[in-house]
Amino acid sequence: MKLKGLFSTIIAVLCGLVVLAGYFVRLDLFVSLSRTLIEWAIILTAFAILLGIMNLLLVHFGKIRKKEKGVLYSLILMIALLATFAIGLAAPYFPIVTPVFNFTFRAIQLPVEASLMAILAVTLTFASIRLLQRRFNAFSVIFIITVLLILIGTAPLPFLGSLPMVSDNLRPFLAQVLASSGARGILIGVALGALTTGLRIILGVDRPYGGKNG
Amino acid sequence: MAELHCSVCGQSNPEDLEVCQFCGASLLPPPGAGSDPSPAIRPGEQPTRKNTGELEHALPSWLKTLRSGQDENNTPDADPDTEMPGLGKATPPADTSGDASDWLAGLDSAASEDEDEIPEWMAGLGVSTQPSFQDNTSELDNLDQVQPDADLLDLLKNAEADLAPVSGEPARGSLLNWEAPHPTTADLFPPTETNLLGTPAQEKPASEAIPSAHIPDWLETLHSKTSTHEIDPGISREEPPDWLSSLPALQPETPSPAPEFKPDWLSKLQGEGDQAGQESTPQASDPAETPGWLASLGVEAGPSATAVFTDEPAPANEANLETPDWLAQLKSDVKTATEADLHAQEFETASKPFQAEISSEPLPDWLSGIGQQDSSATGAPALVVSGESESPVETGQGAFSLETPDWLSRLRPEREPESVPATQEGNQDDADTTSLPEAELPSWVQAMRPVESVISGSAPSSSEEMGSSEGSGPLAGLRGVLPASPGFGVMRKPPAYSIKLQVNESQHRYAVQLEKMVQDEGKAREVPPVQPKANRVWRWLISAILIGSILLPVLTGTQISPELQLYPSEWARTGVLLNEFPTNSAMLLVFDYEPALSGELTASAAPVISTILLRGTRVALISTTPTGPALAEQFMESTQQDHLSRGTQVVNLGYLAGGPVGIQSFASDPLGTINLTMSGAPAWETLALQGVKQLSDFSAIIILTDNADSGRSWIEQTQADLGDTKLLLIISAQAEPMIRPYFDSGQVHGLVTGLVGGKTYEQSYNTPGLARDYWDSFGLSVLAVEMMVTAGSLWGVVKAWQNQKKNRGEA
Repeated sequence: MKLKGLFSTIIAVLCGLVVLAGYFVRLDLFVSLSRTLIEWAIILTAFAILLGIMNLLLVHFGKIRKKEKGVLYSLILMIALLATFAIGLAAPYFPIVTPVFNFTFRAIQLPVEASLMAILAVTLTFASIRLLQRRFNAFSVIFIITVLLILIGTAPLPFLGSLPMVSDNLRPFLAQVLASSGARGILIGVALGALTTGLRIILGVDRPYGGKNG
Repeated sequence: MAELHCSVCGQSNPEDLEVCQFCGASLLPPPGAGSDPSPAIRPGEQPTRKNTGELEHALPSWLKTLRSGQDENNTPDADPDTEMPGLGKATPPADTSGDASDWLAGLDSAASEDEDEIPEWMAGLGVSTQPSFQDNTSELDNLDQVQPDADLLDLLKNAEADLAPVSGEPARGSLLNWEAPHPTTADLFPPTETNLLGTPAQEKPASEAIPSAHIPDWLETLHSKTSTHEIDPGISREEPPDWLSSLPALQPETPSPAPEFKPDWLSKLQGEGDQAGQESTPQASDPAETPGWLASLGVEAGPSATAVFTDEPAPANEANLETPDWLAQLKSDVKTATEADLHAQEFETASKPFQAEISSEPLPDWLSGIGQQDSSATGAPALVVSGESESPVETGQGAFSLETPDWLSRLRPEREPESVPATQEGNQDDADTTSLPEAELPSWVQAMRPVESVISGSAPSSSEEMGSSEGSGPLAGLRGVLPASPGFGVMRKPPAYSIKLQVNESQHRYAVQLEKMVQDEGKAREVPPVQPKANRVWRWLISAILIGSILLPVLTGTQISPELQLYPSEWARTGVLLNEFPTNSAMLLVFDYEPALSGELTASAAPVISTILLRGTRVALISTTPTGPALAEQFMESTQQDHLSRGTQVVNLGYLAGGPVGIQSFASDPLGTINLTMSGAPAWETLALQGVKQLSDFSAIIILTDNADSGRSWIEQTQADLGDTKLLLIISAQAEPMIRPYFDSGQVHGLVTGLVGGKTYEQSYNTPGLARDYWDSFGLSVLAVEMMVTAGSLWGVVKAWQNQKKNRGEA
């Protein structure tokens, strides 16, 4: 192992141990050290978002310079990004700009994303209609039946309301028993995986920051 | 009509034609072809005895002469099979008496006719002018019987004197190889050069033939010198005779020997003689000691071989008239082959008479060495004493068969009318000779024929079949050895065949079908589009149905969906939590959802937040998503405008970076994690956050999220710092399965899920809001979706069943 890798590994292990000790050992030293390290991580994460925005700008700027396909979209993106960024920077210091900032969000971003979700609703409906035509098997049938039961049990039927046995028994059983059971298994697995990953990083086995196994 | 096939080109010709209309070859069968050709005599095979008495008149004169001599020396009962007439025996002078046997009948007349045709110059020589093949061989054997004739030198001088006015070739040819025949010459062919030598002896009776015991002195001296291989060096220094000194003057007249006119076999033969002569007589070949003409003479030992084939037109023609056809043809070919070499041999042929002169009288010392040289070189003495090592019969056989070159042995003597010059015209024997069938050859002639073992594959062929004769090169004079044109056969224009394919109708139809199939294989197969219009139509139809189902309740204002009759199970605990929510407390409201799902979450969270705000709760807004602060602003302005106008304290802490780490940091140290509000004011100094130093100071944390991970992070990261703070999650319906376990486990105190949860809260607190507005559209659109999915699924089932049935039918 090179000195650089050794040094980075030592830093990573120490940081993990300190943060972990901040949870279990309520000493001011560990707690303060733990908070300091976490704050550094938050700053780095925020700066990473900023780096992502800058990278997005450079990529689309390159496309515009090379006159690649979709230059117009890149140009619109850059203009909107720079404008929103400028308004966002000016909003705290210029209260008159705040309504403009809120308007751009409400008038552009919110409807656009909501429209995408509406299109998704249409697409999922179409896919559910053609599911058995494309793939007629037991799992597809189970999937379709489950969808229908959940929809019938969730939404009120016009002029009918809730269907007996479906809304009060079948739908809760599917959503709260079967689905929750599966979700709990997933969550437990995620927790064990996170624990194992944390231990491996603390012990220096995994070095995602660079190194032999990184 | 019968057709004749040409033996040369193989083409069919009408029967009445004599010449092939394609190649010009004669269509007439070769003589004897129709009858049984006389096969070659195999070794040890006895020739057939036949009565040829009536053919005696056709015999050549030399044969008649031989026979006459044989009759005198031999008994009439002599077996012709064992003793070749005229070859091995000393030929006595022609006895034309009438007491000859029957097979010699007519010999006198023939001889007289031959004698009439002897040229004058030959007559002056007093020698026989019958240079036939057998004659030469017999005369070669009779060479040892030559007596020293005092007049011979004079005769030769006279012949030399006659050489000028007469064509040089015959005279020189007749005087050729007097001095020493090449060894192979004596073996290959009867030494024609001995014609002159033997002729005097030939005219002498056989009784005068000198036996070996009575060899004259001069001949003995010659033999002794030949055996000793001694050459007197003084010979070359002696002055040649006057008549000999004039010989060099003839040399410029002789055309330079053209190498191209010499056949290879002849040159080789000559070269061997040269080599042998040089080896045997190194001193004689010294040009410093010998005259130039003599040195070249000594070097040119080959002429003895070439002299065999020297042309003597007049005698040859006479011989052709009276010799058998095959022999005459062979001789004519031989003469033809040597014509090209005659000019190159003038010098040698011119020297022959002098040697003959020398042999006829005591030779000078200088000339005796030449004969010694040549005899030693050839190994076969020029003068062979009768009764010496080899018998005349053996000599004759060897000359015909054993020593004949292969190329010559395979050649059947031709009988070509064109080769016979016009001298045959007016000859009465011509018709008799040509009419003589080969099957009627006498036995002794049969015995002279080539032995099959030596001349293998010598199939008789006509001169027409043999084609033209070669004019130069090693095959000069030979006929039909090479094809007339390049290639292995007669070149002719190939027959023209039509290149148009002759096919019938069915074959043409099959070809067209095959061509069409090949063309179809080369074409790109068009892939039909995968029903783009159907999908697009279906999508537009689905969209229209959904939009219509949503807008119908909104536009009409009717309530087609009844109120919620069954509350969700989580409402019991959540309702209790909201009822027990403390007044004038601080509440942390987390907006962690995307704008796309703002409609659902707004409708779900608006009644809950509104109820809480009615209790004078202060609100701190925070988000872990970049769009969260804007959503929070938008949410408060759109749904809680009444509370805000009444002075509800709301502070927007903005974006909390770091995800779970930021949540954990904020949970552990809110003051240290976020210091400023969205407007830049100190967050913890605002009225909304008065008294809040840590997370547990909030009375409740309400998390609005559509993402289970985000909700899980808030639940997990804040769990240690919550204290008595209540945790309420208002989530999207899609996140319920992942969040519900936390609610069931008690880590989440309250849970409001989707539009149903908001409708439940509104309906419970009788505060109609967005949930009620959306309720009818929600119910109708979901019903439309249920119907479309059900119909599509049923259609899919039917179609799948049809496909299975179709597949079973095909199987």
